[in-house]
Amino acid sequence: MLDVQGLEVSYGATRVLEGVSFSVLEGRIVALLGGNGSGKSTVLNTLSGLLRPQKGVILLSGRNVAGRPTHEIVRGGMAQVPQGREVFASMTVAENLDLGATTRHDKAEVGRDREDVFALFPRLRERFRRRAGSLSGGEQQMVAIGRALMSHPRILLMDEPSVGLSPAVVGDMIEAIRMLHARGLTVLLVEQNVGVAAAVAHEAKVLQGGRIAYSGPAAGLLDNEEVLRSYLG
Amino acid sequence: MRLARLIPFAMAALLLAGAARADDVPGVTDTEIRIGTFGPMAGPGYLYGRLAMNGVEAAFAKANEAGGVNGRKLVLVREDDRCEPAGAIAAVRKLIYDDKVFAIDGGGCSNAAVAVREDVEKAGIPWVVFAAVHDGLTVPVSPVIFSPALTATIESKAQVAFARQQGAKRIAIIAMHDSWGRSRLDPLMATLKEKGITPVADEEMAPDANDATAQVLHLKAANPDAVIVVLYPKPAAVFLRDAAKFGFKPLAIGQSGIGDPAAFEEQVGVPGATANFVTIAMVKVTPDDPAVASWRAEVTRLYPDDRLSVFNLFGIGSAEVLIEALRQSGHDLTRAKFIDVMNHLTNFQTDVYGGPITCTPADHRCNKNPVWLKKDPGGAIHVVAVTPVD
Amino acid sequence: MFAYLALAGLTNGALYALVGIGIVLIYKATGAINFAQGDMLMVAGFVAYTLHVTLHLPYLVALLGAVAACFVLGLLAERIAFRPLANADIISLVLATVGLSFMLKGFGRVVWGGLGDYLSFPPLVPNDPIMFGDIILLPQQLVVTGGAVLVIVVFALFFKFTSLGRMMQATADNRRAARLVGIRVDRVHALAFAVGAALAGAAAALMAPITLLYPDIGFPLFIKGFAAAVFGGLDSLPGTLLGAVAIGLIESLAGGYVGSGFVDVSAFLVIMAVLLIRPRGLLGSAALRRA
Ligand SMILES: Nc1ncnc2c1ncn2[C@@H]1O[C@H](COP(=O)(O)OP(=O)(O)OP(=O)(O)O)[C@@H](O)[C@H]1O
Ligand SMILES: [Mg+2]
Repeated sequence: MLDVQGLEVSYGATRVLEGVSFSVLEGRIVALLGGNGSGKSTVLNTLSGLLRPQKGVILLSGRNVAGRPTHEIVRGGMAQVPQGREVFASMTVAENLDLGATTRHDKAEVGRDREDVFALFPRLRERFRRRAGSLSGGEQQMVAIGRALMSHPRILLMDEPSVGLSPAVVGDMIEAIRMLHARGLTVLLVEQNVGVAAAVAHEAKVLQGGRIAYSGPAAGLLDNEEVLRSYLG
Repeated sequence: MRLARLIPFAMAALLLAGAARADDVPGVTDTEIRIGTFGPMAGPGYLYGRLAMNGVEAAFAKANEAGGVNGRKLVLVREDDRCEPAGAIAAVRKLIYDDKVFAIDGGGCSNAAVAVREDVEKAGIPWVVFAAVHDGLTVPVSPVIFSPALTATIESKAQVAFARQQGAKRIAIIAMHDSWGRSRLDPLMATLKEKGITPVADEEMAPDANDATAQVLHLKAANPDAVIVVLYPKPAAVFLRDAAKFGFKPLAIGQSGIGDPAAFEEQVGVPGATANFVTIAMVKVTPDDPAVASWRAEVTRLYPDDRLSVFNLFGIGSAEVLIEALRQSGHDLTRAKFIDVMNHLTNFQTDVYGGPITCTPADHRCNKNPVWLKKDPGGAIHVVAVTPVD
Repeated sequence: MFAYLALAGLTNGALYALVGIGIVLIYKATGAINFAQGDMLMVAGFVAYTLHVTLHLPYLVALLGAVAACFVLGLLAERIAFRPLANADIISLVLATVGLSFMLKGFGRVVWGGLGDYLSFPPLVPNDPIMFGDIILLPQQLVVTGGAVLVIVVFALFFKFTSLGRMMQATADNRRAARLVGIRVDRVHALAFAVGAALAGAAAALMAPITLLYPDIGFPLFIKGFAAAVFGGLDSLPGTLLGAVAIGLIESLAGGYVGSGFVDVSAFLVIMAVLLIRPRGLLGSAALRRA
């Protein structure tokens, strides 16, 4: 589904990614872990075309999309739920969702997809006409996920969806990710919370020093003293 | 013995003559005389700059075709002052020290022009003013500055005199209060005071105003016989347009800032709004007057895109004065000689000014004949009167 | 007297609103203040003049022509004065649009400066006042005010109800998120400049009969429109509208009741007072920053 090889990315003179390689198989949930500032968001933003890599290949369903513009990548089936949610605060929930469908040609289907989002997050149906900026953090996260789903992605990039949410809401979020997976969606999940990653992901990758330093099953992560200590603090 | 006594004098004379030849007169060669000019080349003031310069150029071209002045061709060097004092100082220094011109025929914007008085006097370079009207150019009299253009005081006196001639008792004012407006408003107030007249209303208007409702309502309430208009053409047009809307049509007395009544009527755009408007012209002819047919041809020959404008005529008039003084100065031209001729220029008739040009050593305001122009709605421009002042 | 002053103030306010809304639109979508907004207006005014007065085309054609010309001018402006600098600091952006302002002014002077120091645009309707009881209504003012209101309403509808309008709003709201949903932000920027300029075009064609035309008309209008935008918080369209009408009214009423010397300063005094009390402007959403 997604195959990343030798990705190098710098901000000006500072190189953040030194050759990141990993792949995400179709139908899997893969967690990307790493300490603060290790470059996790940089990876996702490069995948989404917000950043241009100096080197490297990003194969999305076999096609190299490295350096392509974002709208092309979204249309190619890869959408991102960004860190910090980044909803359109001054616009309504409905408008946020509709904007998620910007790249789609089959506008007729959009109404049905919106219903799918409401089925996943019934709370959003009640908040339909509210300004997104006035919602709680958990609700905004739902808007951000719903908005990404509206582009009909086959792989969803999620950047720390659990940050700042109460344990109950984090539980809902995990539930939602499982449901999406059950519908056939592939997920690349960036997390600081190893508990969440271990609970929902099949595989884990740990980013350190600009490279993937560990790659293995996610389930044993919490018991793996060595990984926890040396990579995640 | 007698011969011996003369020797020192003879030697001195030879020395002087030699010195004069060695120490060349700036801007003068055997074949040409370079004259500088400055004023705004672009922007809203370009009328008083570029267009007046084009007039000077036309007069020079005509003189050159007729063989030049005492065998020398006239060459005009232009500098842009952007209608600003700082720009004018830079322009004039460039003319004096880099371009090394013999004399200046220029000065479009009053406040820019008056700012260079000191530099011009220090350099001792003669200057014939072509459009600026600031009193400070000629009062107190400067040894080197001569103005065949009108001055603010002369125009103000003429405005008040004209209002009284027309039987106006109640006189109101609408004026811009920027530096241009002030340079006219101050002498106007002084003149009114001298005549014992208190204005019945004194309104202000900004140069870029789009609306004069408040001013018109105030003036209308004061019920004046005449309104003295100390405005640029654009605010004046807005004022007359809004006055017409409210049916307020007093005698409106303009000044040379609104120099072209035909263009003005067109710009006001409201039929009949300019019916009671008169304005001062520095020149007694209108651009379509048969008397200036040859000038019209000359300007269109040099500047195919232009039609002769009243602002060209300012330049032409001043250049005629300059050329006459150069001619009278003879072949051995010096600045001192030129200034001496200017100081005694008497009753020189130009093709354009309202009366003869006369300068005296004590008064360099050489034009005291403001011309009153009026354009009947849809009709032709005609000279209503010439009001000699002093 | 009040009625006349208020009407004159409203008319000017409507014109300031058209200028201010163009400024706010571009600011919201791109984070740049277009200092050339007034000069685009000047160019549009002369285009309308050329079409209507010189070529004798109907007024409506002239208006649409001015709008179209400005639309293209806006696209060009974005290309030369914004896109190359989109990631530069705000000072470079300001300098770029200020530079553009000088370029347009120079262009206006070269192309139309030789026609006279200013041109008058014929009124769209006969000048005979309409008596309304005791009040004299001036048709030209009504037409201009009505036209401005119409343009503002059409613009608000466009912004709210077309997908293009919503993409612009989204980009203004959150540029990163807009890119992530696949909005082509660079195109939206170009479009914001174009639509903002087109508004200036409509404004120019409407106001020409009132303001007259000259190459330096841009800056004073920009200042009034900008003041209205700041008054409203720089990113609020209703706030700008309110600010513009307030400036128009204050100018006119101060001129009438306090003295004609106060026309120019009064509005700015009030704006400074508003900003002292509410630094974010009347309806502004947040402290001013680059979006
Ligand atoms: N726009 C930028 N310009 C310069 N440096 C940046 C920029 N964005 C991020 N960085 C730097 O790049 C490094 C990686 O940042 P990134 O946001 O990818 O890390 P992260 O793993 O997502 O961190 P976090 O867990 O805090 O979200 C950090 O050192 C950060 O300071
Ligand atoms: Mg991050």
